[in-house]
Amino acid sequence: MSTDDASTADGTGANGGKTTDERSVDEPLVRVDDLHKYFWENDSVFDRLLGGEPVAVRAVDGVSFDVHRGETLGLVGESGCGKSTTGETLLRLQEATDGRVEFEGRDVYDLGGDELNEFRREAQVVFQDPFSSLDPRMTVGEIVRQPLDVHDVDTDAERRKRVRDLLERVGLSADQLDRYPHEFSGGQRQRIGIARALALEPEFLVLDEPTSALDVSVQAQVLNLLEDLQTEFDLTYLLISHDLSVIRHICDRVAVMYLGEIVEIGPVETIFEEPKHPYTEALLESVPRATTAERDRDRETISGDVPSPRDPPSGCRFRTRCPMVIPPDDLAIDQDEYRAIVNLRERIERRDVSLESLGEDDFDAGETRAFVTELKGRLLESDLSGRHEAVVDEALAHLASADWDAAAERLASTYESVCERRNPELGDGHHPVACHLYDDPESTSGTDERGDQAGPN
Amino acid sequence: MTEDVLRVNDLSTRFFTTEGQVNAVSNLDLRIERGEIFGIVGESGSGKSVTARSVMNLIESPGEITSGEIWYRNRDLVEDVEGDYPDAVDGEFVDLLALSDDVRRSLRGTSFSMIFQDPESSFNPTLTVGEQLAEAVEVQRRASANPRSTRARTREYSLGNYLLSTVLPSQRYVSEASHERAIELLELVGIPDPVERADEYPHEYSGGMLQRAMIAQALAGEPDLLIADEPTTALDVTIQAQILDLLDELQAETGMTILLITHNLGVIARMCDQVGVMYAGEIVERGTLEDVFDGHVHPYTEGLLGSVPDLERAGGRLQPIPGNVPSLLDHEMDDRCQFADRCPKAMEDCLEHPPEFDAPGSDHHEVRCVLTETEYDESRALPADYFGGKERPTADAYADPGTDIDESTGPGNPPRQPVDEPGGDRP
Repeated sequence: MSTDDASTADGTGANGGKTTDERSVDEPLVRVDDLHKYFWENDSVFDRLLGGEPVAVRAVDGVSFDVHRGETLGLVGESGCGKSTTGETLLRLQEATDGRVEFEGRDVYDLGGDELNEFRREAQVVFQDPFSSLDPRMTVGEIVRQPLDVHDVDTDAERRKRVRDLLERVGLSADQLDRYPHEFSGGQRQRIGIARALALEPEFLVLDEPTSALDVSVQAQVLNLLEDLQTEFDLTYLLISHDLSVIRHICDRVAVMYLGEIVEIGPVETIFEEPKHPYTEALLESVPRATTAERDRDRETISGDVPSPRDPPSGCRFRTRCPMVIPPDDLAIDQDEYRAIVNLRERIERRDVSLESLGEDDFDAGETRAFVTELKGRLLESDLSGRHEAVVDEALAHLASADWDAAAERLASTYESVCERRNPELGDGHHPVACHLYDDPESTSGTDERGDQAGPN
Repeated sequence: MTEDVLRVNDLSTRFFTTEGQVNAVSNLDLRIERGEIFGIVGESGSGKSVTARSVMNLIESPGEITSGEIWYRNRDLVEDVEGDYPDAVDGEFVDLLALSDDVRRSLRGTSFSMIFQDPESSFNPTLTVGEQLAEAVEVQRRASANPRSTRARTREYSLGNYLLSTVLPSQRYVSEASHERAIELLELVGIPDPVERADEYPHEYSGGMLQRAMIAQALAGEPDLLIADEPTTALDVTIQAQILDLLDELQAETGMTILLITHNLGVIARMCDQVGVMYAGEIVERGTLEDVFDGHVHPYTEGLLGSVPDLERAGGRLQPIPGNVPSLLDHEMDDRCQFADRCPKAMEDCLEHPPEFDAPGSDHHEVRCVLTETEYDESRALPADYFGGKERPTADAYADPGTDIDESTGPGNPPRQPVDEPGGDRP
């Protein structure tokens, strides 16, 4: 993957206040290249004995991005999209299935011995849940001091002083050293977690949903604190969050994840003002704004649920919910109608249609027609126009003899979309997006051009 | 023509724990008009859920409703209870707290029903969703056949049935008609293929679908008032949008009244006609959506709105409320404005518990803050360290890394300047 200096400069300059110092044009601090993390189900010895096939849960499936010095990169997505797993895997808290992570130019997965220790000092993490990420049997002083003890930093007296300084810096008072975590509120505990992460003077912090367990007023305190600490200690953040307003507030650049893949990366302003990917647009549309104008806002929300990462859709993973899925070139069809047919295909391919209630196999001609009409009424909400109705009828007729493959085949031959054939690549550049709407027709440098919806792929 | 469907007067709910008495809800008044969506917003521990549960009569030991009246308008109920509880009736209203538990239980589902935050744990994992819905329908059907007797509902389900059900899987509590109705309800809330879906178990549903199913269950008895307690908090934002759309549509179709409880100001703005802002067991500001969002008076409302990062703009620095949500333990509470210790505009007047003042805006706009009637006067401001205490520094006191960290900046006037230059050395 090539990085370009343009995105670096723009990325770090996007949020104002952040200095674009001479280092930012150098190597990125963290470079993630084609990272994969699969979890395996049915993979125990017992399962093997019974002959079960292991099933891969593709939590992270080919993710690449850079984090530049001094910036905050946001990783946003819905639950289960793999954002936390990405954060943990790139810190080597989980072993990667495949891919490469470089930290200051060195491959994190190749590190050992002192180099690994060094990396562990430089890269720290703050977890989401301030209640379970602090040991209830250790005092706050011990918790914050532990990293110093583990890495054997300084003398005893210096460590004690450092712990006091850290606690005061994050807004707790140093005389609370001997208290236990349960004596603190959620926001205060999150401050303790932050102090612990800062103890070894790291360069890079992964913030895994640092404020989602907190009330809004406390969340604002913690966000302000994180911003101050970043300026003060020159920190680089990877902020993982599902909350788009937090992302917008604190990040310089944003990567949007969907089902284990990054669908769009760009500077925060661009992502929020001119999102390209239909998923990013849908996410932004879905957030209720806290203003009185919210009730009258024109909302375009998406239907359906996130598919399972055990068996992700072929091609573009968002296509099962995408409001702008691309019909084949030679097909004149409007989006609603196409969506309805795509959904129907999806169900036939998954064999998720119950035929029992319509009677058993083997119909004669007249019965087949009745069967098709009945099934259509159940599967499609509105009527289709002439030509498409004929194709759908043909396909459904195959179901009368329970011939699923033939039915799926019939529909695929007419309606197969580029979105399911090929997985769109996340390109390079300033604001890459993984969507066929933005594919180059030939070789024009058109990543910024909005592709025609029914246009060539 | 609008009319109140629920009037809550002077409601106090207390929990008697080993650590002391917790004043979860204190002297709360509430009016909800028929057909509106009333939102209660507040931080965790502000008493929003306890308020809802008090209305539903779902307060369990060690909690207790210690005082107050909950007047519910329902002519049929008036007729039914007039004989037994003459004191509990006032015109078309019935005071629920004066009724027996049995009668109140019979109101659940038909008059009030509730949806909860976590759909995954609100369903029984061993029964199909259809069965659980049908059960709700069945209960309502039997209850309406014999309104005020709770015995009616269990009469058809004896110990014999129970024993049989352990050996005969077909032995069900629900009738065919109830099952049909359950499927209709699933269709109503937008579950695709309701016939097949009704036979699936809760774990086969996604979170959003389960929340829909729970809404269906709550609608089984066609309630007057639906209480939605953080209905979308456990859901992703695209699913949240779907559920809010659904509630909006259902409300428009059936004209039911919704009491919506949430901590999310965006959800409030999206859904509500009237809003109450709760803090420390009291409603501190109430009014129409416009009153509260645009014409708010209370510094807590101000702080709450200022804490939300703006999605539309990359805003400057957030303006959080310093400090933490207060303890509701009786012996730790003073009889003053409960927000005074975190309030940037606390004055001497705030040491007395403020009544609700009428505020400018609509007729409904009422604020529990002296600032409604008095201008903020710096000469009467409380000194920054007035409330003292060790919890103070947790406020945003060290917002400016340039200042000495030992110099305690009180909650009265926390530094509000954005930090422009990188400052401070590493300690």
